[in-house]
Amino acid sequence: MKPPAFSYYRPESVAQALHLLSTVEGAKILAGGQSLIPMMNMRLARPDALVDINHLTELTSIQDVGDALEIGALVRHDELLRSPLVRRHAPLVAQAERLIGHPAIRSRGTIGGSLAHADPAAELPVLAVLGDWELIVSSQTQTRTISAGDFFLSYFVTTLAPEEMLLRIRLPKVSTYGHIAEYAIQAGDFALTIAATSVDVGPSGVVRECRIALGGVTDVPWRDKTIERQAIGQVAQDSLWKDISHTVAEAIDPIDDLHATSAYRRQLAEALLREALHRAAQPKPA
Amino acid sequence: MTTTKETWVGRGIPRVEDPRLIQGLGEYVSDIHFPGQWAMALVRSPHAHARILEVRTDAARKLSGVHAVISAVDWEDLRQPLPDMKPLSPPALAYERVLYVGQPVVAILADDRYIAEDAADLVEISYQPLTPVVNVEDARQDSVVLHPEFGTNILDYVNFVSGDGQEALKEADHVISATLQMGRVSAQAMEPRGIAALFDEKTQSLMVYHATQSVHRAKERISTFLQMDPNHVHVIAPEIGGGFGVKNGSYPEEVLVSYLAKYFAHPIKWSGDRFEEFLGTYQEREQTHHVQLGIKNDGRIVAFVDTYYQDNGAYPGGGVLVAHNTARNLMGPYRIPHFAIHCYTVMTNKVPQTPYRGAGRPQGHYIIERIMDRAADELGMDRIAIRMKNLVRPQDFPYATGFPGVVYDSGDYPQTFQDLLDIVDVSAFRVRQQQARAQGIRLGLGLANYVEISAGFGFEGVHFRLAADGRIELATGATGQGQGHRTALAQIAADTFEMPLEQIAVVEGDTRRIDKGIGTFGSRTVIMAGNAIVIGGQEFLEKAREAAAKILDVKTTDVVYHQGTFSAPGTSAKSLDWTLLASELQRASHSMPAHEYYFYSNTATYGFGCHGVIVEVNEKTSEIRIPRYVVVHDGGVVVNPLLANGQVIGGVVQGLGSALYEEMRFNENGQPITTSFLAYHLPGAVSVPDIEIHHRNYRAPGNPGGYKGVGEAGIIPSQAVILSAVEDAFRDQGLRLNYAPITPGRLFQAMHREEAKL
Ligand SMILES: Cc1cc2nc3c(=O)[nH]c(=O)nc-3n(C[C@H](O)[C@H](O)[C@H](O)COP(=O)(O)OP(=O)(O)OC[C@H]3O[C@@H](n4cnc5c(N)ncnc54)[C@H](O)[C@@H]3O)c2cc1C
Repeated sequence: MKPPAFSYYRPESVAQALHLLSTVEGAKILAGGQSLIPMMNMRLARPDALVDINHLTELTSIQDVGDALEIGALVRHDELLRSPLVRRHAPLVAQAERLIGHPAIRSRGTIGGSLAHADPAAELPVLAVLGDWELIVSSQTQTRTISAGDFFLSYFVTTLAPEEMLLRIRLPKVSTYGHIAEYAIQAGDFALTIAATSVDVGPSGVVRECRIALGGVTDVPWRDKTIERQAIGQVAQDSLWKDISHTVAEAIDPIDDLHATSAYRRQLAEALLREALHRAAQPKPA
Repeated sequence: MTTTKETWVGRGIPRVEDPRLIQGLGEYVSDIHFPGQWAMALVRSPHAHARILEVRTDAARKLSGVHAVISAVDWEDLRQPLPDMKPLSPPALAYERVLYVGQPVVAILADDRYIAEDAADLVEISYQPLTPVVNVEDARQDSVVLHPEFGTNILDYVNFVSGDGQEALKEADHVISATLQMGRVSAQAMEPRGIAALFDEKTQSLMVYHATQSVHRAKERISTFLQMDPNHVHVIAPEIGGGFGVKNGSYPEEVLVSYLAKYFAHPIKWSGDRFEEFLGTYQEREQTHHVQLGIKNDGRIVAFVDTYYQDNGAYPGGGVLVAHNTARNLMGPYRIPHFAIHCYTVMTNKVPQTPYRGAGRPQGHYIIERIMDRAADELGMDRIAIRMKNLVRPQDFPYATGFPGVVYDSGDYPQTFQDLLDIVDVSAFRVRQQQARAQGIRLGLGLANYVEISAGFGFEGVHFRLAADGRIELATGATGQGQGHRTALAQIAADTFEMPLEQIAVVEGDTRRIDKGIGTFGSRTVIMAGNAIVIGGQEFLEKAREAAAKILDVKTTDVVYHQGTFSAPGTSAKSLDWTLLASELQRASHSMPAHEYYFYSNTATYGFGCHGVIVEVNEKTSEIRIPRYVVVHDGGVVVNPLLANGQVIGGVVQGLGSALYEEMRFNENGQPITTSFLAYHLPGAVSVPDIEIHHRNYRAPGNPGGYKGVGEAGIIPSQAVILSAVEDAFRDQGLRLNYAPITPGRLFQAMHREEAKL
């Protein structure tokens, strides 16, 4: 469990980092190292070079930019858990952070690393898809903004090119309520299935908006806007959540692995989703 | 003797080991750094069963920092079988064929482990894959025989019969049958295995630092393999981060490091990593039992018949012992007048089995407890009542179970079980269970009894010595791995010598300090080394009195020893304490009193007890939570309740692992597919409940100290009790569980009658 030899670069600016990424053969970004380093130790990843971005203070802020929060790619899980701005404008992120790993992992791991790593059972990618986050990505030659729905391609695969770096993530502020429910075999483990929701119920008790995303069931975070729309205009009540959860469970084709069969994941998705919808629709104290 | 109130034995004092360990000052094998030492890494077989066609090492050899790339092709000595693994011992490095994934094929010595692993990547081995045999059903057919020279995959078969055996089933009103299984588990001590060796050319002696549970047996194996005079091999176990049985046996790495350190006359270290711990460290538990229980209408057991197969992996490891010990535990604490047991140890293309905490005790109890549940269910009888009906009663002692050499001797099984029922408050629970069900929550209660058979063979010794500073030093070959022996044994010695604990120093795990030793496993150390202190201590005191007599210039018979002081009442002599005795002896150039005593005993001890667990099952997620876990436990005379509780709690936690989460899984090619903690789940602090422990202290009649084993009490009935409780939660549906662990995935399948796939 020792990594193969690699060269190591420690840029002091984003510009330098992007330069390295476009010039150094086989370079990979090192952020919190919580996914990359174990993979290197197991020799499942063998980058020729690491570009350590931990010194790029340009990427460490959480900013209120009006209708959104802009979060630097290097912001650690732990900070997302504590930040008053996040709690206020993206409360679901703060809620989800409690489910990610253990304190030691959260104090190193980053939002950028979590999204770029694209583990299908990770929480933040699910929230990114649910919340229509925008990912601001740069290479030495261009900057582009990718919506989360287009970012994840497959297991551990995103649209990021090798010379690109995720700089910031724009999270539209939410006024709706949300909930994340998951089941992991042990606290701190990656979940078998994750259900995240956000629901807006009008004064008359009718659903105005409903979003649903699942993690751990397919190779990328799962979302289906057609099903979401079926909820709109309906009375927010348990029978609705039951129907929607059931519809979703019928619509998905969950993965099968060592720990859970497809049928088990389907049931988990249905149960967790129903809980997450029910909780999201609960009237909250102001 | 001092009064009970003043004894050290019985006090829950914190471990004397703690200050060092907690501050990170403990020295483990990984902390041993010989100047210039080379690191060893191994190329392990990626195939479960294959012929080795060619081993190409040139590229690896050329890598800078690599000192040697070693395979059995060129190193004939390393084709030698590992010592102590008859009748089918693997060569130190695989030669011509590999029989399990993880078997070492090539050893690399390099400046550090990084380079050694880089070199390992460069070794090219061509294999011709052979048909892997990955389960006992296939193995038993012998259509592919792992060891052609042995002729069959059945490594061992024994049968045990008592009374009329199988015949007695005819007398039963009902015969309950079931096939019950247990998956494989891996011990996963916090510290992986490791070993470092240094050869001294001048003295031609080999110094080995070894994370082993038995320094003396390691010394024997190493000197056998190296054909060295055992007097020139010294084995030291530094601090060890958990052993659980699997650091006890014969492993390739042990002889490789020792052999190569001597061959190159250069210090070598191998620190196993977590991956190697999953691949190469021996495993346990995997068995399939076909059981029949004959009972009368009133629930009385008439006969027990069991044919079982242990999936032992490719070599013996220490597995046959596990299979036999399973048989010994199949009766549990119940009166079973007739039984017939057929026990097969079967070889497959997996890493071998070796005793892991419990070592057959959990397996045996899992079977008897589960089949009793099944019998009660089929008769429509209460699961408690059937147990009460069959428990061995106090008037039955001494009670011979019918298994050779097993005679239960002490305690009150029915009363202790009743105590557990009262503590759990079964009737109140049944009411809560009903109420909970009405709210969609499933609660279940599991109850199981056990006997913890400990020690009963061999010896353990203590070397006593008065040290220059007046402390009494005790060296023992029973090497601890975190149990707190340096505290517990010192407590026994402090009572023996009527001295404060600080005056006693316990030295473990150093073959230079005591001639012989067997080691720490099977909950034996306090029983064996503890009694060696109790008895040998008196003999040492006699020698100390002789020494004191010389200094005091009186007859030995005049010397009286009381609470740390030697005096000669009725003479004019002054009195001496140990410190003064030590300094006077040194001044007079007399030798210091020393004494070596070995306690031999073939009398096992029989601790016993019962576990009660309440589970809460979430039907939607298949999550099993444990709101309550109660253990009533007899450990005889308990030396240190804090340490004993630690043992019981630790055992329960490991038991919850093998009951709920832990399983080594292999695919159809014999590839292990749970080789990291991502896939192999240990119980975490969050999911482990507070464990309530209630002690019963029935003195062991078979040894002077009255001690019994405590190390396995926590793990013995854990699989039985959890599966029982989960079934109870689904009693209305008649849920039946035949496989441990009951993981969430498996529970889902059981609930939905899904084809077994996980
Ligand atoms: C025991 C354990 C338990 C865990 N449990 C969970 C869990 O329950 N849920 C969960 O979501 N996660 C979990 N994690 C993973 C953790 O959340 C990591 O923080 C995360 O997956 C990766 O973030 P990182 O900053 O450590 O990235 P790194 O490991 O440094 O990098 C991961 C990948 O992302 C790339 N990368 C990193 N930053 C950027 C960037 N700015 N632009 C482009 N590419 C980039 C790297 O090149 C690499 O390919 C766990 C980890 C461990 C060790």
